[in-house]
Amino acid sequence: MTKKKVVRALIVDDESLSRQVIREYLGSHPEIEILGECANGFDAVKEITEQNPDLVFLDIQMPKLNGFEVLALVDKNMSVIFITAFDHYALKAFDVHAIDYLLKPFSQQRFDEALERALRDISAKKHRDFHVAAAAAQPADRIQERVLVREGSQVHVLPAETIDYVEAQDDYIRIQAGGKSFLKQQRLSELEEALDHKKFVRIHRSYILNIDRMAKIELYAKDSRIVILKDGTKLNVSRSGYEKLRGLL
Amino acid sequence: MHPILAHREKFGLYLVAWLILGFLITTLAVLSDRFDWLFALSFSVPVTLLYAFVGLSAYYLCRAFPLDRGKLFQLILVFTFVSIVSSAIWILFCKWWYWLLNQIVQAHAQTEISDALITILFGVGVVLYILSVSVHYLMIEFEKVSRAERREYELRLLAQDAELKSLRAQIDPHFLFNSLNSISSLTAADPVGARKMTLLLADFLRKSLNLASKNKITLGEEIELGSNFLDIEKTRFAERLQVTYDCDSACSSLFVPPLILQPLIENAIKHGIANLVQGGAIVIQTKRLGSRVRISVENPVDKEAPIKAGTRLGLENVRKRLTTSYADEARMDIIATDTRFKVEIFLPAEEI
Repeated sequence: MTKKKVVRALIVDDESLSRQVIREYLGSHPEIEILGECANGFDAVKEITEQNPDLVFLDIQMPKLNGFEVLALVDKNMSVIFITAFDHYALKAFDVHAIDYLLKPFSQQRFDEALERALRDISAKKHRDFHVAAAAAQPADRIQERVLVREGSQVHVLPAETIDYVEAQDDYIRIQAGGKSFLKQQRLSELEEALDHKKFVRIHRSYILNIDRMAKIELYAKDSRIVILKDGTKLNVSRSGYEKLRGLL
Repeated sequence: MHPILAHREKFGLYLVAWLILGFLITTLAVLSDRFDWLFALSFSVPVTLLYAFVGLSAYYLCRAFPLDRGKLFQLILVFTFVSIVSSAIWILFCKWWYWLLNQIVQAHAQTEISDALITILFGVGVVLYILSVSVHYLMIEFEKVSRAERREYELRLLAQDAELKSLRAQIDPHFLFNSLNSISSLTAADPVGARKMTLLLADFLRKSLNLASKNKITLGEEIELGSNFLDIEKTRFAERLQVTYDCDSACSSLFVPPLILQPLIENAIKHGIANLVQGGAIVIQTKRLGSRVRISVENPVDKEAPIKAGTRLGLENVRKRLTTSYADEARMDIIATDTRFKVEIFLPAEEI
């Protein structure tokens, strides 16, 4: 009987009272199906990846991953309405293509407006690349102290100091940390930009090195050097990379 | 007003100094003109005291001619002239007084003071006047310095006061908005809860406004305010927030700066509980240690959460406030591990 397309929505907020309000406001919108609720960033990444919602109500301040980090980790085409009590995030929210931005506490009226926009957006099926926009919006304000990697619906949090080195591989980067390696879809230059420049050096077109891991530098051929890490790994060093290393040591 | 005349003690000392000079002059007169002691005394003491008053006039001269390196020559000229004139007038008086005394007692054969004594007295008069000028200059300078010092001290007190005010914890707007959001959510589902929350919030606001305006409050009041705050946050975080109090009853009446604990408790929520999926327990402890008191706030942290700049700033403010209020008497320690964060404050135990 219902031919009308159902919009599948996910509610992500760490406070149950906040989720409750959204549920209550959605009560008068039967066209929205609530897929579920998530109380933290990890769950949100998992649910979004597995359930593929059309619309996400996303809190910004959450345990584990904040709203922006969640978006940076998922590459889904969906509409996002940000919800927060902190209005200094507003500009950033629109940077990552949010449909709207609700400041707690909000009225049913204001909520309906945002929802209206989201529904229009969903029916227009505009393509949005959150993944890239959110990743780009992330490091702008400070040095990134951890790197997030998603494997399926699981998220790994790699504190920057655990990273040994990063290697470029086609469209991916391979992050070597604590004896494991992680693949991530990101450009090496992007990560280089985000990491602490006093600790991480781009020693080669294909490598970023954590200088704490370096054991020695050896001359390998004329004008060509290699770095030997404490675990014995050997990495090529370009001439400009060597200059940068010398500048830091 | 003349600084010597204005103070009874200073004036007394000044007169005593001149009386001693008077006795010296007496001795001089006895030795040089063979006065008998009684006559010599009744001659020299009144004239010396009179000159004491003449000497006071130096103050006004010093005020009229402030010390100035550029005008040194002019100053020397003026004071030499004035001291010669003063001394000359004084000598005239001495002569008249001697004549008068002679009329009264007729004990002395000599009708005139010897020229030798006159010369000495004149010299003494000039030197004394110049001495008086120097003393007055010293006094004026000394007063200037002490006034500047007092002003500086007052300014420092003012600055300290302003600093304390600016460092004082203010109500976090995020906390307010979050609480309002909780109330908004509760109104439909749980009206009784919504009312309870509203009352808690009103209570907290009233208390923190009252306490913030005071200079010192009791530790008991401070803990109560904190627990009021935590009750509100419990509504928001539900089972994610537990609080354990371990408060020494011997501490509750001790004085502490108002809202010194509040930033620590707010940090424990913001950088501890709020980052944890399962939440955890905040532990608030107070303990009397002889003449000191130890207050601590401890909370679990997520080891993967990056340390935010805001934490350090809040703690730095608390540390500054402690230094401004207690100097070296207070201390703040931070004990941070991967999973726990604890701040300990040691204060002198101030009784009512």
